[in-house]
Amino acid sequence: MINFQNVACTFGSQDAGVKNINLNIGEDDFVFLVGPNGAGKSTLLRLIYMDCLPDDGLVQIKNYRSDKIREKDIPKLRRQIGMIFQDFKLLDDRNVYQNVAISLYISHHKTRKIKNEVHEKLNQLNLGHRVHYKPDNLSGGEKQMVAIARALIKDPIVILADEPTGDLDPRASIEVIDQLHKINQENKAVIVATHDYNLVKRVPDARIISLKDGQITSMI
Amino acid sequence: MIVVWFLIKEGFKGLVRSKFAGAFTILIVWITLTILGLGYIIGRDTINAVNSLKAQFDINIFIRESASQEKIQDFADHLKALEEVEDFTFISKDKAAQKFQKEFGKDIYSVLDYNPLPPSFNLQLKPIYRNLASVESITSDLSEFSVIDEIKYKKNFLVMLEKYQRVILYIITGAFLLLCFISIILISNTIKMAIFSRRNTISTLKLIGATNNFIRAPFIIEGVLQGFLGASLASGMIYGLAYLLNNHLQSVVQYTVELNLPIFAVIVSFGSVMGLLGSIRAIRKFL
Repeated sequence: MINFQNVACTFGSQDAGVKNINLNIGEDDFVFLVGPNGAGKSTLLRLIYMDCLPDDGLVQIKNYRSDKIREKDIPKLRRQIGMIFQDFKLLDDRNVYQNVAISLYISHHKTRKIKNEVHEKLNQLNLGHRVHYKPDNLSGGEKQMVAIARALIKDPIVILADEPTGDLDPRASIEVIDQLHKINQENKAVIVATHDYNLVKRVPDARIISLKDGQITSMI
Repeated sequence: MIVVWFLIKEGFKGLVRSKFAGAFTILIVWITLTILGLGYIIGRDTINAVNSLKAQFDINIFIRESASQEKIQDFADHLKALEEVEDFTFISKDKAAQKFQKEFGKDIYSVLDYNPLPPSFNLQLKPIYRNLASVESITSDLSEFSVIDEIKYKKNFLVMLEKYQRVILYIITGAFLLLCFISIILISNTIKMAIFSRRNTISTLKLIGATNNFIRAPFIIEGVLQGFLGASLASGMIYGLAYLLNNHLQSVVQYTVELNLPIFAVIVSFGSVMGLLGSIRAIRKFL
Protein backbone atom coordinates (compact mmCIF):
# COMPACT_ATOMS: atom_id res chain seq x y z
CA MET A 1 0.00 0.00 0.00
CA ILE A 2 2.86 2.38 0.89
CA ASN A 3 5.96 2.00 -1.15
CA PHE A 4 9.33 3.79 -1.01
CA GLN A 5 11.75 3.22 -3.90
CA ASN A 6 15.29 4.59 -3.50
CA VAL A 7 13.94 7.67 -1.78
CA ALA A 8 16.17 10.56 -0.82
CA CYS A 9 14.93 13.77 0.71
CA THR A 10 17.21 16.38 2.24
CA PHE A 11 16.67 19.84 3.66
CA GLY A 12 20.21 21.12 3.53
CA SER A 13 23.13 20.07 5.69
CA GLN A 14 21.66 21.18 9.03
CA ASP A 15 18.34 19.37 8.91
CA ALA A 16 17.47 15.74 9.12
CA GLY A 17 16.63 14.02 5.90
CA VAL A 18 16.53 10.50 4.51
CA LYS A 19 18.47 8.71 1.77
CA ASN A 20 18.32 5.44 -0.04
CA ILE A 21 15.04 4.36 1.52
CA ASN A 22 13.39 1.23 0.16
CA LEU A 23 10.34 0.20 2.05
CA ASN A 24 6.98 -1.52 1.67
CA ILE A 25 4.18 -1.17 4.17
CA GLY A 26 1.09 -3.37 3.89
CA GLU A 27 -2.54 -2.57 4.63
CA ASP A 28 -2.56 -4.18 8.07
CA ASP A 29 1.02 -3.56 9.18
CA PHE A 30 1.95 -2.03 12.52
CA VAL A 31 5.30 -0.36 11.98
CA PHE A 32 7.54 1.28 14.52
CA LEU A 33 10.09 3.73 13.15
CA VAL A 34 12.76 3.94 15.80
CA GLY A 35 15.95 5.87 16.10
CA PRO A 36 17.51 8.86 17.81
CA ASN A 37 16.52 12.45 17.17
CA GLY A 38 17.48 13.50 13.64
CA ALA A 39 17.45 9.91 12.34
CA GLY A 40 14.82 10.77 9.71
CA LYS A 41 11.68 9.26 11.30
CA SER A 42 9.57 12.39 10.95
CA THR A 43 10.85 12.97 7.42
CA LEU A 44 9.68 9.51 6.45
CA LEU A 45 6.21 10.31 7.79
CA ARG A 46 6.18 13.70 6.06
CA LEU A 47 7.01 11.95 2.81
CA ILE A 48 3.94 9.76 3.27
CA TYR A 49 1.55 12.69 3.78
CA MET A 50 3.50 14.58 1.13
CA ASP A 51 4.42 17.52 3.31
CA CYS A 52 7.70 17.20 1.44
CA LEU A 53 8.47 15.47 -1.82
CA PRO A 54 11.55 13.31 -2.47
CA ASP A 55 14.58 14.76 -4.22
CA ASP A 56 15.19 11.31 -5.66
CA GLY A 57 13.19 8.11 -5.93
CA LEU A 58 9.48 7.53 -5.60
CA VAL A 59 6.95 7.43 -2.79
CA GLN A 60 3.66 5.77 -3.63
CA ILE A 61 0.60 5.65 -1.38
CA LYS A 62 -2.13 3.65 -3.09
CA ASN A 63 -2.59 5.51 -6.40
CA TYR A 64 -0.84 8.66 -5.32
CA ARG A 65 2.70 8.93 -6.70
CA SER A 66 5.12 11.56 -5.47
CA ASP A 67 6.41 12.16 -9.00
CA LYS A 68 2.97 12.84 -10.45
CA ILE A 69 0.92 14.28 -7.64
CA ARG A 70 -0.58 17.72 -8.25
CA GLU A 71 -0.81 20.25 -5.42
CA LYS A 72 -4.61 20.10 -5.45
CA ASP A 73 -4.50 16.31 -4.91
CA ILE A 74 -2.48 16.51 -1.69
CA PRO A 75 -5.55 17.41 0.47
CA LYS A 76 -7.36 14.40 -1.06
CA LEU A 77 -4.46 12.15 -0.04
CA ARG A 78 -4.37 13.62 3.46
CA ARG A 79 -8.08 12.95 3.90
CA GLN A 80 -7.19 9.26 3.63
CA ILE A 81 -4.42 9.48 6.21
CA GLY A 82 -4.99 9.83 9.94
CA MET A 83 -2.29 11.88 11.61
CA ILE A 84 -1.28 12.08 15.24
CA PHE A 85 1.42 14.40 16.52
CA GLN A 86 3.45 14.81 19.70
CA ASP A 87 1.96 18.29 20.27
CA PHE A 88 -1.54 16.97 19.41
CA LYS A 89 -2.24 19.80 16.94
CA LEU A 90 -5.77 20.28 18.22
CA LEU A 91 -7.64 23.48 17.48
CA ASP A 92 -7.51 25.27 20.81
CA ASP A 93 -10.49 27.50 20.13
CA ARG A 94 -12.84 24.55 19.46
CA ASN A 95 -14.24 21.92 21.76
CA VAL A 96 -13.60 18.17 21.53
CA TYR A 97 -16.65 17.53 19.33
CA GLN A 98 -15.68 20.31 16.89
CA ASN A 99 -12.07 19.12 16.75
CA VAL A 100 -13.16 15.68 15.65
CA ALA A 101 -16.07 16.78 13.44
CA ILE A 102 -13.88 19.12 11.38
CA SER A 103 -12.30 16.10 9.68
CA LEU A 104 -15.68 15.03 8.35
CA TYR A 105 -16.73 18.52 7.33
CA ILE A 106 -13.53 18.68 5.30
CA SER A 107 -14.59 15.46 3.59
CA HIS A 108 -18.06 16.96 2.86
CA HIS A 109 -20.12 14.60 5.04
CA LYS A 110 -23.69 15.39 6.05
CA THR A 111 -24.27 17.07 9.40
CA ARG A 112 -26.50 14.33 10.84
CA LYS A 113 -23.99 11.65 9.88
CA ILE A 114 -21.19 13.74 11.37
CA LYS A 115 -23.05 14.11 14.70
CA ASN A 116 -23.74 10.41 15.00
CA GLU A 117 -20.28 9.29 14.00
CA VAL A 118 -18.41 11.77 16.18
CA HIS A 119 -20.42 10.90 19.29
CA GLU A 120 -19.99 7.20 18.58
CA LYS A 121 -16.23 7.54 18.14
CA LEU A 122 -15.80 9.70 21.24
CA ASN A 123 -17.76 7.18 23.30
CA GLN A 124 -15.59 4.36 21.93
CA LEU A 125 -12.50 6.21 23.13
CA ASN A 126 -14.08 7.04 26.52
CA LEU A 127 -14.31 10.73 25.69
CA GLY A 128 -18.11 10.94 25.71
CA HIS A 129 -18.06 13.03 28.88
CA ARG A 130 -15.55 15.49 27.42
CA VAL A 131 -17.52 16.47 24.28
CA HIS A 132 -17.86 20.14 25.19
CA TYR A 133 -14.40 20.54 26.71
CA LYS A 134 -11.78 22.73 25.10
CA PRO A 135 -8.30 21.15 24.67
CA ASP A 136 -6.89 23.37 27.42
CA ASN A 137 -9.15 21.62 29.92
CA LEU A 138 -8.02 18.10 28.98
CA SER A 139 -5.11 16.02 30.24
CA GLY A 140 -2.29 15.14 27.82
CA GLY A 141 -3.61 11.61 27.41
CA GLU A 142 -7.12 12.89 26.69
CA LYS A 143 -5.79 15.34 24.12
CA GLN A 144 -3.99 12.54 22.32
CA MET A 145 -7.16 10.42 22.42
CA VAL A 146 -9.04 13.32 20.78
CA ALA A 147 -6.32 13.44 18.12
CA ILE A 148 -6.75 9.68 17.61
CA ALA A 149 -10.53 10.17 17.31
CA ARG A 150 -9.97 12.90 14.74
CA ALA A 151 -7.63 10.64 12.79
CA LEU A 152 -9.93 7.61 12.97
CA ILE A 153 -13.22 9.33 12.23
CA LYS A 154 -12.42 9.66 8.53
CA ASP A 155 -11.74 5.93 8.19
CA PRO A 156 -8.19 6.40 6.91
CA ILE A 157 -6.10 3.84 5.06
CA VAL A 158 -3.21 4.42 7.45
CA ILE A 159 -2.59 6.12 10.79
CA LEU A 160 0.68 8.04 11.09
CA ALA A 161 1.80 8.88 14.60
CA ASP A 162 4.84 11.10 15.06
CA GLU A 163 6.15 10.68 18.64
CA PRO A 164 2.56 10.34 19.91
CA THR A 165 3.68 9.70 23.47
CA GLY A 166 6.43 12.30 23.60
CA ASP A 167 4.46 14.66 25.85
CA LEU A 168 2.63 12.01 27.88
CA ASP A 169 3.25 10.31 31.20
CA PRO A 170 4.02 6.55 31.10
CA ARG A 171 0.44 5.47 31.87
CA ALA A 172 -1.06 7.67 29.17
CA SER A 173 1.67 6.56 26.76
CA ILE A 174 0.71 2.93 27.24
CA GLU A 175 -2.99 3.77 26.74
CA VAL A 176 -2.19 5.53 23.47
CA ILE A 177 -0.01 2.69 22.14
CA ASP A 178 -2.60 0.10 23.18
CA GLN A 179 -5.28 2.10 21.39
CA LEU A 180 -3.16 2.26 18.23
CA HIS A 181 -2.57 -1.49 18.51
CA LYS A 182 -6.33 -2.03 18.76
CA ILE A 183 -6.84 0.07 15.66
CA ASN A 184 -4.28 -2.04 13.84
CA GLN A 185 -6.04 -5.21 14.86
CA GLU A 186 -9.05 -3.91 12.96
CA ASN A 187 -6.91 -4.23 9.81
CA LYS A 188 -5.69 -0.69 9.54
CA ALA A 189 -2.05 0.16 8.93
CA VAL A 190 -0.37 2.11 11.73
CA ILE A 191 3.06 3.72 11.54
CA VAL A 192 4.50 5.10 14.77
CA ALA A 193 7.70 7.11 14.96
CA THR A 194 9.22 6.93 18.43
CA HIS A 195 12.51 6.87 20.26
CA ASP A 196 10.94 5.14 23.27
CA TYR A 197 12.00 1.49 22.88
CA ASN A 198 9.88 0.43 25.88
CA LEU A 199 6.72 1.19 23.94
CA VAL A 200 7.82 -1.01 21.06
CA LYS A 201 7.57 -4.03 23.34
CA ARG A 202 3.84 -3.37 23.86
CA VAL A 203 3.15 -4.48 20.29
CA PRO A 204 4.86 -7.84 19.85
CA ASP A 205 3.75 -8.40 16.27
CA ALA A 206 4.93 -4.98 15.05
CA ARG A 207 7.57 -4.45 12.40
CA ILE A 208 10.47 -2.41 13.69
CA ILE A 209 12.42 -0.23 11.32
CA SER A 210 15.53 1.38 12.77
CA LEU A 211 16.88 4.55 11.27
CA LYS A 212 20.14 6.37 11.75
CA ASP A 213 21.43 9.41 9.90
CA GLY A 214 18.53 9.17 7.46
CA GLN A 215 19.14 5.57 6.49
CA ILE A 216 17.44 2.34 7.42
CA THR A 217 19.85 0.33 9.56
CA SER A 218 17.63 -2.63 10.30
CA MET A 219 14.17 -4.00 9.58
CA ILE A 220 12.57 -6.62 11.80
CA MET B 1 -24.22 22.98 0.23
CA ILE B 2 -23.66 21.63 3.75
CA VAL B 3 -20.01 22.61 3.50
CA VAL B 4 -20.89 26.11 2.28
CA TRP B 5 -23.27 26.58 5.22
CA PHE B 6 -20.63 25.18 7.58
CA LEU B 7 -18.02 27.60 6.24
CA ILE B 8 -20.38 30.58 6.58
CA LYS B 9 -21.10 29.57 10.18
CA GLU B 10 -17.36 29.14 10.76
CA GLY B 11 -16.83 32.69 9.45
CA PHE B 12 -19.31 34.07 12.00
CA LYS B 13 -17.90 31.89 14.79
CA GLY B 14 -14.42 33.08 13.82
CA LEU B 15 -15.47 36.58 14.91
CA VAL B 16 -15.94 35.27 18.43
CA ARG B 17 -12.92 32.96 18.32
CA SER B 18 -10.57 35.69 17.18
CA LYS B 19 -11.26 37.51 20.48
CA PHE B 20 -8.88 40.43 20.99
CA ALA B 21 -7.28 40.26 17.56
CA GLY B 22 -10.72 40.44 15.93
CA ALA B 23 -11.91 43.16 18.29
CA PHE B 24 -8.74 45.13 17.56
CA THR B 25 -9.38 44.84 13.81
CA ILE B 26 -12.92 46.16 14.28
CA LEU B 27 -11.57 49.01 16.40
CA ILE B 28 -8.98 49.96 13.77
CA VAL B 29 -11.61 49.88 10.98
CA TRP B 30 -13.92 51.93 13.18
CA ILE B 31 -11.32 54.62 13.93
CA THR B 32 -9.83 54.88 10.44
CA LEU B 33 -13.21 54.96 8.70
CA THR B 34 -14.53 57.54 11.17
CA ILE B 35 -11.55 59.77 10.36
CA LEU B 36 -11.91 59.04 6.64
CA GLY B 37 -15.67 59.73 6.72
CA LEU B 38 -15.23 62.98 8.63
CA GLY B 39 -12.39 63.95 6.29
CA TYR B 40 -14.66 63.36 3.31
CA ILE B 41 -17.52 65.40 4.82
CA ILE B 42 -15.25 68.31 5.77
CA GLY B 43 -13.64 68.22 2.30
CA ARG B 44 -17.02 68.04 0.55
CA ASP B 45 -18.45 70.93 2.58
CA THR B 46 -15.34 73.06 2.02
CA ILE B 47 -15.60 72.56 -1.73
CA ASN B 48 -19.35 73.27 -1.57
CA ALA B 49 -18.66 76.47 0.39
CA VAL B 50 -16.20 77.63 -2.28
CA ASN B 51 -18.71 76.76 -5.01
CA SER B 52 -21.51 78.63 -3.25
CA LEU B 53 -19.22 81.66 -3.04
CA LYS B 54 -18.61 81.33 -6.76
CA ALA B 55 -22.35 81.09 -7.34
CA GLN B 56 -22.62 84.66 -6.04
CA PHE B 57 -20.37 85.82 -8.86
CA ASP B 58 -22.18 87.97 -11.42
CA ILE B 59 -21.39 90.38 -14.24
CA ASN B 60 -23.00 93.77 -14.51
CA ILE B 61 -23.32 95.13 -18.04
CA PHE B 62 -24.19 98.80 -18.13
CA ILE B 63 -26.06 100.05 -21.17
CA ARG B 64 -25.59 103.45 -22.77
CA GLU B 65 -28.41 105.84 -21.88
CA SER B 66 -28.75 106.65 -25.55
CA ALA B 67 -29.35 103.01 -26.57
CA SER B 68 -32.72 102.38 -28.21
CA GLN B 69 -35.17 99.79 -26.86
CA GLU B 70 -34.74 97.85 -30.07
CA LYS B 71 -30.97 97.64 -29.67
CA ILE B 72 -31.34 96.65 -26.01
CA GLN B 73 -33.77 93.90 -27.02
CA ASP B 74 -31.34 92.68 -29.69
CA PHE B 75 -28.62 92.51 -27.05
CA ALA B 76 -30.94 90.63 -24.66
CA ASP B 77 -31.69 88.12 -27.45
CA HIS B 78 -27.95 87.70 -27.95
CA LEU B 79 -27.45 87.00 -24.25
CA LYS B 80 -30.26 84.45 -24.31
CA ALA B 81 -28.54 82.58 -27.11
CA LEU B 82 -25.18 82.40 -25.38
CA GLU B 83 -24.11 78.93 -24.21
CA GLU B 84 -22.23 80.28 -21.19
CA VAL B 85 -25.16 82.24 -19.75
CA GLU B 86 -27.24 80.60 -17.06
CA ASP B 87 -29.58 83.53 -16.37
CA PHE B 88 -29.79 87.27 -16.74
CA THR B 89 -32.06 90.11 -15.66
CA PHE B 90 -32.57 93.52 -17.17
CA ILE B 91 -32.48 96.39 -14.70
CA SER B 92 -34.08 99.51 -16.14
CA LYS B 93 -33.24 103.01 -14.86
CA ASP B 94 -36.35 102.95 -12.64
CA LYS B 95 -35.50 99.54 -11.24
CA ALA B 96 -31.96 100.73 -10.59
CA ALA B 97 -33.36 103.67 -8.64
CA GLN B 98 -35.53 101.31 -6.57
CA LYS B 99 -32.50 99.14 -5.91
CA PHE B 100 -30.52 102.17 -4.82
CA GLN B 101 -33.24 103.10 -2.35
CA LYS B 102 -33.37 99.56 -1.05
CA GLU B 103 -29.63 99.33 -0.57
CA PHE B 104 -28.86 102.86 0.66
CA GLY B 105 -32.22 103.86 2.16
CA LYS B 106 -32.37 107.09 0.16
CA ASP B 107 -34.31 108.18 -2.89
CA ILE B 108 -31.86 109.00 -5.71
CA TYR B 109 -34.03 111.94 -6.80
CA SER B 110 -33.84 113.56 -3.38
CA VAL B 111 -30.05 113.25 -3.46
CA LEU B 112 -29.29 114.41 -7.02
CA ASP B 113 -32.57 115.68 -8.48
CA TYR B 114 -32.11 113.31 -11.38
CA ASN B 115 -31.41 109.58 -11.91
CA PRO B 116 -27.83 109.01 -13.11
CA LEU B 117 -28.11 105.25 -12.80
CA PRO B 118 -27.87 103.60 -16.23
CA PRO B 119 -29.94 100.63 -17.31
CA SER B 120 -28.04 97.38 -17.00
CA PHE B 121 -28.05 93.64 -17.35
CA ASN B 122 -27.13 91.39 -14.43
CA LEU B 123 -25.61 88.20 -15.77
CA GLN B 124 -25.05 84.84 -14.10
CA LEU B 125 -22.84 82.30 -15.83
CA LYS B 126 -23.14 78.55 -15.74
CA PRO B 127 -20.88 77.02 -13.00
CA ILE B 128 -18.25 75.71 -15.42
CA TYR B 129 -17.80 79.19 -16.92
CA ARG B 130 -17.33 80.92 -13.53
CA ASN B 131 -13.59 81.21 -14.04
CA LEU B 132 -11.36 84.08 -15.03
CA ALA B 133 -10.49 82.82 -18.51
CA SER B 134 -14.13 82.30 -19.52
CA VAL B 135 -15.29 85.55 -17.95
CA GLU B 136 -12.60 87.57 -19.75
CA SER B 137 -13.43 85.93 -23.06
CA ILE B 138 -17.18 86.53 -22.65
CA THR B 139 -16.81 90.14 -21.53
CA SER B 140 -14.40 90.84 -24.36
CA ASP B 141 -16.95 89.56 -26.90
CA LEU B 142 -19.82 91.47 -25.30
CA SER B 143 -17.92 94.74 -25.18
CA GLU B 144 -18.06 94.79 -28.99
CA PHE B 145 -21.75 95.69 -28.81
CA SER B 146 -22.38 99.37 -29.31
CA VAL B 147 -25.13 99.48 -26.68
CA ILE B 148 -22.66 98.68 -23.95
CA ASP B 149 -21.18 101.42 -21.90
CA GLU B 150 -19.25 99.40 -19.32
CA ILE B 151 -18.88 95.86 -18.03
CA LYS B 152 -18.07 95.31 -14.37
CA TYR B 153 -17.35 92.21 -12.35
CA LYS B 154 -15.33 91.37 -9.22
CA LYS B 155 -12.13 90.29 -10.90
CA ASN B 156 -10.10 90.14 -7.69
CA PHE B 157 -12.79 88.08 -6.00
CA LEU B 158 -12.68 85.59 -8.89
CA VAL B 159 -8.87 85.48 -8.93
CA MET B 160 -8.72 84.91 -5.16
CA LEU B 161 -11.41 82.21 -5.25
CA GLU B 162 -9.71 80.39 -8.09
CA LYS B 163 -6.40 80.48 -6.28
CA TYR B 164 -7.81 79.21 -2.98
CA GLN B 165 -10.10 76.72 -4.65
CA ARG B 166 -7.10 75.09 -6.32
CA VAL B 167 -5.10 75.00 -3.08
CA ILE B 168 -8.06 73.67 -1.09
CA LEU B 169 -8.79 71.03 -3.72
CA TYR B 170 -5.16 69.87 -3.73
CA ILE B 171 -5.00 69.75 0.07
CA ILE B 172 -8.33 67.94 0.42
CA THR B 173 -7.61 65.46 -2.36
CA GLY B 174 -4.10 64.81 -1.02
CA ALA B 175 -5.29 64.40 2.57
CA PHE B 176 -8.15 62.14 1.48
CA LEU B 177 -5.91 59.92 -0.64
CA LEU B 178 -3.36 59.77 2.19
CA LEU B 179 -6.10 58.80 4.65
CA CYS B 180 -7.37 56.16 2.20
CA PHE B 181 -3.87 54.75 1.82
CA ILE B 182 -3.24 54.72 5.57
CA SER B 183 -6.64 53.08 6.16
CA ILE B 184 -5.95 50.37 3.58
CA ILE B 185 -2.50 49.58 5.02
CA LEU B 186 -3.66 49.75 8.63
CA ILE B 187 -6.76 47.59 8.12
CA SER B 188 -4.93 45.11 5.94
CA ASN B 189 -2.05 44.73 8.42
CA THR B 190 -4.38 44.42 11.38
CA ILE B 191 -6.26 41.61 9.63
CA LYS B 192 -2.92 40.02 8.79
CA MET B 193 -1.91 40.13 12.45
CA ALA B 194 -5.25 38.61 13.46
CA ILE B 195 -4.77 35.78 10.96
CA PHE B 196 -1.12 35.36 11.97
CA SER B 197 -2.27 34.67 15.52
CA ARG B 198 -4.20 31.68 14.14
CA ARG B 199 -1.51 30.32 11.84
CA ASN B 200 -1.44 27.08 13.84
CA THR B 201 -5.10 26.50 13.08
CA ILE B 202 -4.36 26.99 9.39
CA SER B 203 -1.43 24.56 9.39
CA THR B 204 -3.44 21.95 11.31
CA LEU B 205 -6.34 22.23 8.87
CA LYS B 206 -3.92 21.72 6.00
CA LEU B 207 -2.48 18.64 7.68
CA ILE B 208 -5.88 17.02 8.10
CA GLY B 209 -6.72 17.49 4.43
CA ALA B 210 -8.51 20.81 4.14
CA THR B 211 -8.27 22.46 0.74
CA ASN B 212 -7.06 26.04 0.52
CA ASN B 213 -10.60 27.21 -0.28
CA PHE B 214 -11.97 25.42 2.78
CA ILE B 215 -9.41 27.22 4.96
CA ARG B 216 -9.72 30.54 3.17
CA ALA B 217 -13.52 30.95 3.12
CA PRO B 218 -14.19 31.40 6.87
CA PHE B 219 -11.30 33.85 7.20
CA ILE B 220 -12.63 35.90 4.29
CA ILE B 221 -16.16 35.90 5.72
CA GLU B 222 -14.72 36.89 9.08
CA GLY B 223 -12.68 39.69 7.47
CA VAL B 224 -15.75 41.04 5.66
CA LEU B 225 -17.77 40.91 8.90
CA GLN B 226 -15.02 42.72 10.80
CA GLY B 227 -14.88 45.39 8.07
CA PHE B 228 -18.67 45.65 8.03
CA LEU B 229 -18.94 45.96 11.81
CA GLY B 230 -16.10 48.48 12.04
CA ALA B 231 -17.61 50.54 9.22
CA SER B 232 -21.08 50.37 10.78
CA LEU B 233 -19.67 51.66 14.05
CA ALA B 234 -17.86 54.42 12.11
CA SER B 235 -21.15 55.35 10.39
CA GLY B 236 -22.91 55.43 13.74
CA MET B 237 -20.18 57.61 15.18
CA ILE B 238 -20.26 60.04 12.25
CA TYR B 239 -24.05 60.22 12.52
CA GLY B 240 -23.78 60.81 16.27
CA LEU B 241 -21.20 63.58 15.87
CA ALA B 242 -23.25 65.23 13.11
CA TYR B 243 -26.39 65.01 15.26
CA LEU B 244 -24.54 66.57 18.19
CA LEU B 245 -23.20 69.37 16.00
CA ASN B 246 -26.51 70.07 14.26
CA ASN B 247 -28.68 69.95 17.37
CA HIS B 248 -26.63 70.95 20.37
CA LEU B 249 -23.56 72.87 19.24
CA GLN B 250 -25.05 75.36 16.80
CA SER B 251 -24.44 78.18 19.26
CA VAL B 252 -20.72 77.33 19.28
CA VAL B 253 -20.10 76.21 15.68
CA GLN B 254 -22.32 77.66 13.00
CA TYR B 255 -21.96 74.77 10.63
CA THR B 256 -24.60 72.26 9.71
CA VAL B 257 -23.49 68.87 8.49
CA GLU B 258 -25.65 67.35 5.81
CA LEU B 259 -25.73 63.58 5.92
CA ASN B 260 -27.38 61.26 3.48
CA LEU B 261 -27.70 57.53 3.00
CA PRO B 262 -25.10 57.22 0.19
CA ILE B 263 -22.34 58.42 2.56
CA PHE B 264 -23.11 55.61 5.02
CA ALA B 265 -23.54 53.11 2.19
CA VAL B 266 -20.10 54.06 0.84
CA ILE B 267 -18.48 53.83 4.30
CA VAL B 268 -20.01 50.41 5.04
CA SER B 269 -19.17 49.12 1.55
CA PHE B 270 -15.62 50.47 1.85
CA GLY B 271 -15.16 48.79 5.23
CA SER B 272 -16.53 45.48 3.95
CA VAL B 273 -14.36 45.59 0.82
CA MET B 274 -11.33 46.44 2.97
CA GLY B 275 -12.10 43.43 5.15
CA LEU B 276 -12.46 41.26 2.06
CA LEU B 277 -9.23 42.42 0.38
CA GLY B 278 -7.29 42.49 3.67
CA SER B 279 -8.22 38.93 4.55
CA ILE B 280 -7.55 37.63 1.02
CA ARG B 281 -4.12 39.30 1.11
CA ALA B 282 -3.34 38.06 4.62
CA ILE B 283 -4.50 34.47 4.24
CA ARG B 284 -2.48 34.07 1.04
CA LYS B 285 0.70 34.28 3.12
CA PHE B 286 -0.26 31.27 5.18
CA LEU B 287 -1.54 28.91 2.48
